[in-house]
Amino acid sequence: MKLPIMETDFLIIGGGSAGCIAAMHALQAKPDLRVTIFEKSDIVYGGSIARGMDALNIVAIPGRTDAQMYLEAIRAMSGGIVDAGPSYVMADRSYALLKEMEGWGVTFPKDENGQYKTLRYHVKGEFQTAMDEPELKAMLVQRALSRGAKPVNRVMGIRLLTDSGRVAGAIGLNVRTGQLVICKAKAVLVASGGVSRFTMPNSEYLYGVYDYPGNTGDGFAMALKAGAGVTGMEYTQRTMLIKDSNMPLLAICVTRGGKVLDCNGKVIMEGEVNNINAMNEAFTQGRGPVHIQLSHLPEEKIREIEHILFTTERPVNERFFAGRRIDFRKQDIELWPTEYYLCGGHGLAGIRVNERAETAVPGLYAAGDVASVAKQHLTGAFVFGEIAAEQAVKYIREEPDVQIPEEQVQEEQELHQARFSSKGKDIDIHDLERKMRRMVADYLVSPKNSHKFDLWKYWSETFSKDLEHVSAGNGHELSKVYEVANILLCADCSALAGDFRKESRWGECHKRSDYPERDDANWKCHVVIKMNNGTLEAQKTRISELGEEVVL
Amino acid sequence: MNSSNIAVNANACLACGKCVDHCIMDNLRLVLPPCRQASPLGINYQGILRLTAAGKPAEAAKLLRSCTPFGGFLAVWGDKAASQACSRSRKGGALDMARVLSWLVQREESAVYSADPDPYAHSCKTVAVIGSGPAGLQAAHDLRRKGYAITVYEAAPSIGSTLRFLPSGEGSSPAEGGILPSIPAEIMDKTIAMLLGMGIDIRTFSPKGQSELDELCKTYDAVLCASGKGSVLPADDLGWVRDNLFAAGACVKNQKQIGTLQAMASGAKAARTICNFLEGFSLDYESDQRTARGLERFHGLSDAQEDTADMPAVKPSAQEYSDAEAASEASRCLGCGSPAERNQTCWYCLPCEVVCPTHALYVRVPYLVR
Ligand SMILES: Cc1cc2nc3c(=O)[nH]c(=O)nc-3n(C[C@H](O)[C@H](O)[C@H](O)COP(=O)(O)OP(=O)(O)OC[C@H]3O[C@@H](n4cnc5c(N)ncnc54)[C@H](O)[C@@H]3O)c2cc1C
Ligand code: SF4
Repeated sequence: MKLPIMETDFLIIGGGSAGCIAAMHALQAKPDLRVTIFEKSDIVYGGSIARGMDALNIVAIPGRTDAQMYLEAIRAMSGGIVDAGPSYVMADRSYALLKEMEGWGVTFPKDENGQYKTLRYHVKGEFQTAMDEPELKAMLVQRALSRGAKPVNRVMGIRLLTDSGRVAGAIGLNVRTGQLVICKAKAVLVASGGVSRFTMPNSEYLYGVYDYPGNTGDGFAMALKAGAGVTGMEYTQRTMLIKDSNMPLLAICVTRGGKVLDCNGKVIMEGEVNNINAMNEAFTQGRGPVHIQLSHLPEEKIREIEHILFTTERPVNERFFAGRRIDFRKQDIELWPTEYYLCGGHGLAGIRVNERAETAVPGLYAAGDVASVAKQHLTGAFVFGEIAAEQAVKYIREEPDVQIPEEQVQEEQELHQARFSSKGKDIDIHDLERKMRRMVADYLVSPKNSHKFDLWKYWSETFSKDLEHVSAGNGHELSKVYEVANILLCADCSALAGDFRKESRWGECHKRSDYPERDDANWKCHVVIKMNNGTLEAQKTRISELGEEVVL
Repeated sequence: MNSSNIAVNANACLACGKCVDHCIMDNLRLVLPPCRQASPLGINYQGILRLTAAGKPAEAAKLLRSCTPFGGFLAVWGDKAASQACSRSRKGGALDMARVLSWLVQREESAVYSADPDPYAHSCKTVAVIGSGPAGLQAAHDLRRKGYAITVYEAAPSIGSTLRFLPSGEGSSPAEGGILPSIPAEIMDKTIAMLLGMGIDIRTFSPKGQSELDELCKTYDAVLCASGKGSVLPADDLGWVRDNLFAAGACVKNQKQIGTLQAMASGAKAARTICNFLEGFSLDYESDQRTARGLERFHGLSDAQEDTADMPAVKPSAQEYSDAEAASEASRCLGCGSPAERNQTCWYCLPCEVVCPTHALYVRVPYLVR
């Protein structure tokens, strides 16, 4: 059956932080632009922000810090594997962003001297700026929609369409009905977040992960298939968070006087989040679990911490601690490592972009956790969402129209038909996901070695065959099949990049037992993966300095 | 694993489905109350009754208005199918919904007839609707709400004449209670004023016959024929005839005689199809409203609900209920509908709680994480 085509100018895949701000800015620049947003969940609260955030993690406040200083900090924190341009531009625009957000009504608390409250999170410079806004996402969405952006809720992007190498639109899948939506667009922004369900969390609950579990690397997979590169896939990271709940609170507590202690009571951090490595080491060397102690703090400090935790940053924390009978005045908070995940928001993994949010595919932009701007957090999602909008508006004005490629649509329709059935199929998608994430943990994270990467190949092939036997009786289950297939492709990229980079770097994030040393002579470069006729290929790509073009 | 981390207070739940709409993990489903399930227009009686019982008539009226532009009509007609389905009918007698609605419509007139614009809906697309009967007005209303410019062509000298003077037998259906009582002029006028207030352009003395369809189809982005029994058009289940032409209500070929409420439902369905057509979705996109909106059939009463004592309907002391009587009648509602966790994908992020208008929902941390 031939499906009708939805026509738009600018299609945004993922209505989270980056996607919504991009919609808002594109319409600010050109009010009659047709802007459509595919959002897998519901746009009002969808995405990592869900219900608010306690800090804008990178703001270069004039007179205190600047973009150059940020560049030095981010280089040190990324083992030197950073393109200067994008990180510099982000820091450079961050203060204007803060001012813009204040204009929306977002509160950035100030101290008694009228200065923004900043916290030290990076190796140098206080870039983390306190923010107090539980309704941040709803505010953002209201701004995008009131300007005329059209959200298409419960639709996940599953494939980008290209017309002679240029992006031409995308195909979406309704995650409840399982129906397809074909959208033609001259420019597309992928803003669908990282890969949060990569290995299993310690609770063994599939969705008990730190990052928003709706983000399953769909953007990585779509971009790869359309011809863009992904990078940093060997940067398999995890963080130390509240045991079992995997919710963040380290910075909130430590910057307000909390102490991080090892099991012998030795202080690892106090006052500043300045020694994450030592914390991880204590854990791996058996001096864990580490604890956060707050009981020495005055009541008002504890109240302040509770206020932030229980209102703006994952409010469910209150129920969790009450359930475990933990009172910060008496008990310490136990920290354990989370599951591993891939993302450009906190790590280095992402679709390769330059400082204009462009990818290797003309008309295709990427922003936020799905893009490779190192450790960009919410600041990067917002700044690059804005940049992508500015660029896309220009591109749409200047470039000729595109055509929807019939054969790509047909190919996707056939795959959809094959996947959307339960007849004669005997594998439960949750079982497949669980097993796959277990194998990812077994073979693709540190300590890594060539032998493990070899063993992964068997499982990769097995899982892709198994996917054909997964029963999908309704749209919800079907959407999980697509999600798991995307996680699998991201795992394959991680395996390839991890095997390719024959050195160790970034501490726990890429530690190889067969190449234990850091080797700057050979590996001070990006590992970029592209797809060539369905096969993944890795290559070295040089790191660009300020003023140099990023190699996409 | 405990299959429900979502605790719902059945005495407060409005069964509005906001939590289901906004859950960011598609974790929830709404078990429909039997009244709403049976109601041809899908009216959320549970919500209306709960708000009435809680002494919030203004909000109850707003909810009624969000379900239908014909609240005033329902107060006169009642909703027989919904009343018959009411779980209370086995426990002292069904809720007297018609009487509660009648009280509500009188008390909260401005909300029931509010022109209620959607702040985000705007479109430059145009739709012509032929006929201002039940199907035509319902569709015109729904499409206007989506932001389209609507022109209704009516042959008769007055708007909604088939609704005003239901000729005996016309529009009657046993399921709806046989021949419906005619609508008082006052209610009719207020309803029409509301539709005009929404910016719907209704032209009387404007007959449009079969021969003029092609011309209309060229002028408008979509055309809906809802001209009643007089004409016949072969339409599919979705109301699609050909190209940009659609049909709804009694003019659809080869169907059993349909009642007035069914004609309205048919107009609502055609409006959804037209919207899909204009927005570039496949015509049947989300046509299965249950799946698309995350709704489930009623499974039967819970043990606690089964255990409630029988209680007869409240008798009005005058012709209409007083506020206290309406609240007391409404409080007999058992709260049969409620959201439930179905997909076990909860991220305990809590938007569902935030959007719940009555704080009826409480999310527990999943057992594995607790
Ligand atoms: C718990 C937590 C706390 C954090 N705290 C802070 C903080 O205090 N300060 C800070 O600076 N940063 C913080 N961050 C990081 C920051 O929130 C993210 O970097 C940022 O929100 C990423 O924005 P994004 O738009 O890329 O992704 P998201 O906001 O996650 O949006 C992605 C959107 O895409 C949708 N989607 C996914 N796949 C598809 C698909 N295939 N099709 C359509 N839609 C899709 C998702 O539903 C989602 O709505 C935190 C992150 C988390 C998880
Ligand atoms: S807490 Fe979040 S994921 Fe869980 S049901 Fe509510 S909205 Fe959905």
